[in-house]
Amino acid sequence: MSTTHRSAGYAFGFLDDRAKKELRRSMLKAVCLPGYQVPYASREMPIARGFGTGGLQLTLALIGPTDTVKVIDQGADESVNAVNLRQFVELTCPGTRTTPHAGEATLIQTRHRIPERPLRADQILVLQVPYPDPLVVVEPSEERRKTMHGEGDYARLWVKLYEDMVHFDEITISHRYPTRIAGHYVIDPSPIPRWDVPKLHQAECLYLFGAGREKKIYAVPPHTDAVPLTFDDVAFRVEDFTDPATGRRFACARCGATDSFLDELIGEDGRRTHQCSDAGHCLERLNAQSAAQDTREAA
Amino acid sequence: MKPADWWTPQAQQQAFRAVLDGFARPGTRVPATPPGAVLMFLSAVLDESVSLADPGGVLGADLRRLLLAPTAPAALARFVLLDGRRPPEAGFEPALGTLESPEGGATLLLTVDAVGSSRSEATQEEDVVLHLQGPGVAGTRTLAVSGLHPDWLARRAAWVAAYPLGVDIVLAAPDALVALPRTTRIEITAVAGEH
Repeated sequence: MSTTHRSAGYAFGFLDDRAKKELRRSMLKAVCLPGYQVPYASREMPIARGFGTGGLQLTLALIGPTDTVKVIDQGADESVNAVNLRQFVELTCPGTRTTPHAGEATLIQTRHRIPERPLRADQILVLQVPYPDPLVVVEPSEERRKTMHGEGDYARLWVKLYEDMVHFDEITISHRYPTRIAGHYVIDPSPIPRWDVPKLHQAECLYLFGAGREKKIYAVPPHTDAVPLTFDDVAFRVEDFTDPATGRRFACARCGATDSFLDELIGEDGRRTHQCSDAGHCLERLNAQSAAQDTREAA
Repeated sequence: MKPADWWTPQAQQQAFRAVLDGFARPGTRVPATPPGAVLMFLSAVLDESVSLADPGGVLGADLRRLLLAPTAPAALARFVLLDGRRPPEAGFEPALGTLESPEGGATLLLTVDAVGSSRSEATQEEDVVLHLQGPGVAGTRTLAVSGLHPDWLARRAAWVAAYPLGVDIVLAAPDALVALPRTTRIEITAVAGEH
């Protein structure tokens, strides 16, 4: 069978057909076993391990010429890693569109954030994962971890969380919060903030997780329970953006949002300001505000 | 789409996306263009590195060769293609995977006459109406299937009883397929026709 070589000199989607098919079979099993880490033969990619090779392989096995792709790095579309990955997709997948707008994308590849805008059933979110196994903190042997996962035995993880409680009065995990999927497997949801963890629960979209260096794929299907591990008497909390000085919530310095996940920035004068971490969301709000302004001025 | 198109990477990519969506939302109808759902599914996922069992010769020799997958006994194969109209063989036990590697559980592809979200879409007199719950289903989803021998559902219930072990099933009608992953809970409410 002949392969059409494009301007970049690669077949569509860079990966060869066998690599794509193996990824596809693994994705189907990942969906059938929500939260289970399906091992796969992670391929060598022209980017370094640890820079999103797992997520990129999933994206390339999913993508077709009719897709619109958004790439996020820590919420931003314009950081070096996001730009490089997006350019790689543009180079190897002729015909596909790229966008900064979460609402326009059919495929979203992300590092460390889930978009603020709730995703729809016709969208897939691919998360880049550095460390796929939440049990690695309590059990060094992968063989033992696989047995523990199979049995749904997370006792030692609970002990670890309890020790946290004893020391600090609450569970201090800020990101990679262990989350139980469909009542069985506990996942490392990748280094997303706590703020994003509830978005995994009973979502409309499919979430796929790819760990390239660790050679694992896992999934949270739509309409699936995703419950952070917590003790009955200490509720799970997301990040609190209340200004201790005023008692009011910090707002985004650019778009004024008071309902988004914020990054704290320290200016040259030492003043602290906050901005939306989700740059695409912030941009959409600014555009909507300036459109409303134009309408008012025209009236 | 001409039959030959199933062998192009782009057609297989499109087919896979539709299939993935079907697995993510168990019981939803995934339309298939000629030559049908069996080939749409198998051509999207098979190559030389996974085994396929087709003990009933559903595919025919030419298609079987084009799919590249080596043949294995039905009890060991990763993908097993069977006629869903006929009851499962008494001694048939597919691979269920292990506690450590549940992904080793087989994918059973059962040919049926029709699948739909209501009885009117499955027009044969021998149909079953299934109520589905579980991951990928918001509340309950209704699925009507005609041409599926009821013994399959009883055997499936036994095969998926010890989660995470189990089999994942694809029901393939001529014009559509539906996926029933091992996580889907099935309640059978109606079996019409003569048995």
